[in-house]
Parts: sequence; C-alpha cells; structure tokens
Amino acid sequence: MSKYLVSIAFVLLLSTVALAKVAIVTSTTDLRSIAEMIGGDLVTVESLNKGASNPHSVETLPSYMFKVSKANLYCKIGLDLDSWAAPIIDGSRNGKLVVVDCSQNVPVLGKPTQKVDASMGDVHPLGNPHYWLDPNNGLIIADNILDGLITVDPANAETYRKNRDAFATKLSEKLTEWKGLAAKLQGTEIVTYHDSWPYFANAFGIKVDGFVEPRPGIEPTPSHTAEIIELVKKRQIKMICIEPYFSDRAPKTIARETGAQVVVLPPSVGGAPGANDYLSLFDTILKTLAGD
Amino acid sequence: MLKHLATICLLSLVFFMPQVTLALAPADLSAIGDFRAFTHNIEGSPKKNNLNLKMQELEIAIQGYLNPYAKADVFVSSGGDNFEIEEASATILRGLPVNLNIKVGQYLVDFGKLNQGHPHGWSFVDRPISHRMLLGADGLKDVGIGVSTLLPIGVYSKLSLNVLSGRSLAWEDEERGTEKPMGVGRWSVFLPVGEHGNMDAGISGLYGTYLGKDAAGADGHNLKATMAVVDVKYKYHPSDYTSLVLQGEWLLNHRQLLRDSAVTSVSNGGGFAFVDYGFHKRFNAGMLIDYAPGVFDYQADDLYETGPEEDNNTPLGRFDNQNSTLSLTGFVGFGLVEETTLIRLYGRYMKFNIDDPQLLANPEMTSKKSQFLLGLQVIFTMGPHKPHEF
Ligand SMILES: [Zn+2]
Repeated sequence: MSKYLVSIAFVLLLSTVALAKVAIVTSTTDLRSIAEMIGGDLVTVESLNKGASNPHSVETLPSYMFKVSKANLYCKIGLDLDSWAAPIIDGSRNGKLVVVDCSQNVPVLGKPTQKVDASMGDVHPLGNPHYWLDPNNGLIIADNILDGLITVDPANAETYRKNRDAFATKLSEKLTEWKGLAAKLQGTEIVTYHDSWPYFANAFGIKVDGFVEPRPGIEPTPSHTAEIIELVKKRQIKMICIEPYFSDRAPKTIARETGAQVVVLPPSVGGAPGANDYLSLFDTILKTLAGD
Repeated sequence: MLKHLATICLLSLVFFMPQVTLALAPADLSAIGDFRAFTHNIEGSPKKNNLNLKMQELEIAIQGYLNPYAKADVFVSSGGDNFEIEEASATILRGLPVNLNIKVGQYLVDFGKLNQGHPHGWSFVDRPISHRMLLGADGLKDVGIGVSTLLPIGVYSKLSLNVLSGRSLAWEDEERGTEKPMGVGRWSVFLPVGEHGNMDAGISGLYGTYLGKDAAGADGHNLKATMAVVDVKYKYHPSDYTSLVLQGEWLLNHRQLLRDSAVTSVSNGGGFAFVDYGFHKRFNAGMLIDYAPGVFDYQADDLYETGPEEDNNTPLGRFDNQNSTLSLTGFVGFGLVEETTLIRLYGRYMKFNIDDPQLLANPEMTSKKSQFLLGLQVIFTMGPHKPHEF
C-alpha cells in the first residue's frame, strides 16, 4: 500500500517537474520561433505581437501584462522598436523576470549620423531595428536567447547549447539554399512601404530604391507618391513590396500608374501562409519575390 | 510674486532638464498644448455668438525610472498664467511581496476607469459633466497612498486600495471644510473578447467623512460621503487602421450636507457612455451622452469663460437631487501623425431639467432650458511617443 502511495507521489512529482517548463514571452513571432528551437521541449513560448501585425505599435494590453507576470524570460527586439514592451513588463510586476535584448552584438544598419528629431518622421534613433530579416543575424539572436535561457535554467544548459548548435547547422544549410534562390534576384530593384528591409536586401543582393512612406512612420502623401511613380518609371522597378499591416492604397496607385506589381511580403513569422517558423519565413519571402 | 518665482523655477527646470538627463538616467519630457476656438449661444453671456479663442491648457510631463524598482510621474499644468501640480507621484513597480504596487503622492485616483486619464486623450474633448458635477472640475484628484495587486486568478484582475487626504471631498464645499482621511477602492477585470476585441470592467467605492462648516462658518459637523461607480470598456481593434470603442460609467452618490444649519442627506447618480469609431488610421468620429445631477451652470464653468469671472458658488451636482443636466456631444477628429497633432471638431448640446430652483445658487439659471456649443480643439504633443494603452 505504502509502495503504491510512494509511486503515486513520485508520478505527481514528475508531472509537476514536467509541467514546470521555462515560460518565455517574446515581443515578436520571429523571436518566438528561434526561442522554440533553442528551448525545445523544455520551454513554452508566446509572442505578444502577431506575425501580420505592426511591431512598431503594439497596444499595452493588461492581458499581455498577465502573460509576462507568469514568465521567466522576456525576449525583446530592442533598438527602440518594441519600446511598448517596457510598460507591459512594468505592469506585469514580475520581479524575477530576466529580460534579453536580442539586438545585442547585431551589426546595426542605418544608425543616424546626425541629431534625430520629429521633423524627420519616426526615425529609429538607435538604427534600423528590422535586423531579424538578415538570416545571419538569426544566429546572434539565438545566442542572446541562449544566454537568457542558461541564466533562468542553468540545469539544462547543455540541452540548450545542443539545440543552438543544431539550429546553427540548419541555418547554414538553409543559407546555401537561399543564396541559390536569391541568385536570380541579384540586383533586383524594389520600392518598399517602410524601411523594414535593409538587412534582407543586404543579405540577398537586392536594392531598395525608395519608400512609399515619405518619411518613416508618416502616411503617404500625394506629392511623395508622385515622386515614387517617377522613380519606379525611371528605374523600371517591377515590385512595390508592402508589409501585411499597411494599407495598399498608395502602393496600388503607384502600381496602376507604372505597371509595377504590389507584392505583400511577410516581415515576420506568421505574416503569410507558409511562413511558419524563422526558416520557412525566408523560403516564403524569397519565393514570393521570385514570383513562384 | 512667489507664484511667478515658482513658475520661473519650474520653467528653468524644464528647459535645463534635457541636457541634464541625457548625461544621467534619462527621464521622458513632454509638453502638451490644448488650444480651443469655440462659440456658443449661452443666454446672458457677453461672449454669446462670439468667436472665442483660448489656450485651454499647457501640460508638462516628466516621467522616468527612479531605479530598477520604481518610477515617478510628474505633470504640471497651466490653465492660464500659473502652473500647478496636476500629478506628482512615485510608484514601486516590482520587488514587493504578492505582486504589490505602491503609489504615493498626488494623483488621479482609480475611481472608475476614465478618472485616471488626462482630458487631452479623450476624443469627446472635455471631462464628462457627470464627472465634473460628482467628482470635481478636475476629476477625483487627491494626495495619498495607493496599493494594488493582481489577483491570483486565470485572467488580469486588479484590486487597488487608496488612503487619501480627503481634501477632494472637504474642499468642494461652499465653505472649505476640514479634511479627514478617506478610502477609495477599485476591482477590475480585463478579458479578451474574440480575436481582436478586449474588455475591461470595474467597480469602485469611496467612503469618507469631513468636518463641514455651516453658513456662519462654525466647524464641527461631521459629514459622510459614500460613492460607487461601475465602469465598462470594450475595444475592437482589428488593425492600425480601424478601431471601435464603447465605454461607459455610472456613478452613485450619497452625501450628507448642511442645509439651513441642519445635517441632511442627498442620494443621486449620473454617468456617461460613448462610442468612438476610428477609421483610415488617422480619423475618428463618435458620440457621447452624459447625464448629471444638478444644473451645469455656465457661470461656474471656467472652461468656457462664458461671463465675467464670478465666485464659484454654485452647489455642485453632488448636493442636488432635484435638477439635472443631459448633454450630447458629437465629435470628429483627425490625427496628423498620431498624438503629435490632433484636430477635433465638436458640438455639444445641453438640456436642463429644473424641478427645484431653490437648489440653484444662480437664479438666472431658472430661465435656461438648453445651450449649444461648437468648438475646435487642437492638441499638440512634443516628446517621446506614448505607449498605446487600452
Ligand atoms: Zn521600422
């Protein structure tokens, strides 16, 4: 009988251990995907922003604070993109939360060389924060998350390191594949809605000639749209690339006047069908650009 | 003289702050201006049918972390020549047992949901008359200590309790009474509704006493005040381009007061509800309906400076259970770049229901049945972007 009880107690204990996974909350779905690959079965990961929603302007919902109140680790994009995470983290009251800034050690593009003010629009003052769109930065993100995971769960450090190495191998395999896909896109000139794509363009040899936004975060104006129409005609640009969370009104006007195509690109995991994780995100973007 | 000195000190603080804070831990500094152009048909006002221009408010906000555990919020505002402290509080955010937050200072009390916000954030432009008549011209603002915790249930649910100086009760009386500590509490629940919707509902209560003075100025009448408010907000927000907000509150009020040197009591209530529809990212339009006990007397309304400045001697709605005011406000707004430049056009119709003229301090009001006001508001905000709160 007592043996029976002991085994029940043991099973209960085991199940609580099994339940006590490391709870991770991330700002975006891309960080969620990488955290899932590093954490594997030992973690649960939730992203606050959805893949097809604008990461610049996330509402600080109390339900998000509730999620963070139960978390061990928070992974943010940093570079001021997700400054909305601060009031959510404060509102969570979680004193034990470890916060990882995934932009650490990322070679940042577009750092302003002069004093930034609001006359320039919503310029990202610390440089362009859309760095996850260069897959080479995926590994830097993974390393930052790995550090955070080891801090909150040192007992499983070995497993996390193994997962990170497996991710690195998979990523480098995919990189070769993507380079192949991107070969025929070399030198392709595009116009994008917002300056979300400099890292991606850099990584795959694409040239971004202009933006639908007259200045970062500023709604399209007729005069700027006219300038872009001229640019698209002059440079014979074939694609106006937009994120799923922007209005396609101005891009469609440009397309109508120039014969270029409006292409909706997923800037994040979950931003389009097929972009289910960090690796298939690039498959989807490259295939969409190649017109497959 | 002293007032001017204080203003100069404050302004120099504000101007030198950026340089200082860049080197130290940076505090966020913002300035918010509220400009109005309006006209109205208020009988008896020398400004009837005039084009009136007014700098309604300039608010300066300094907000930042004190250390890893606490932050502070300071708001000073000027409705004219002098600055006054709107809010000044410090909050311990984390590190306390049972998820406690502690807030000290002068602040807008979480009595209902709307009271915690600042008017420039409201599409309907002015504080609802139900709040102005039952809580005060600037809402329920007091000095005290507030503690709050998140309840250990499966959703976000906050319980807060405040011990306050009670001046917000005592100072509303015709003769300023002597304040005694009062208590205010609120319990709220936040729930996601569907994929793109959320709702927040709360109940709050207030209990306080103060020493009231009679007409002769004699102290010593212990007067009780009990209030409650139920608040509900729903927001549907499928994208950056579209949103729909439905929000309302109902306030209940039970007061003791001195009438003809005798303690008597009044029970009444009031509230508001509004719908605000956001479209094409930068536009919004909506409607507010607002009901308050008492007659909203324009001569006591410094907001619209409708006549020569008079003593604010009109009994407020919290002491009036016979007369009432119903108001309807329509509004359309345009945000050039989010909150940095907001332009709002609004029209407000007010209808008075006067059953007992004896309760009106301003006898002129008895001949008034309604009034209409048409206004334009421009809000400009300098400083870092504010988070988009629910
Ligand atoms: Zn951006």
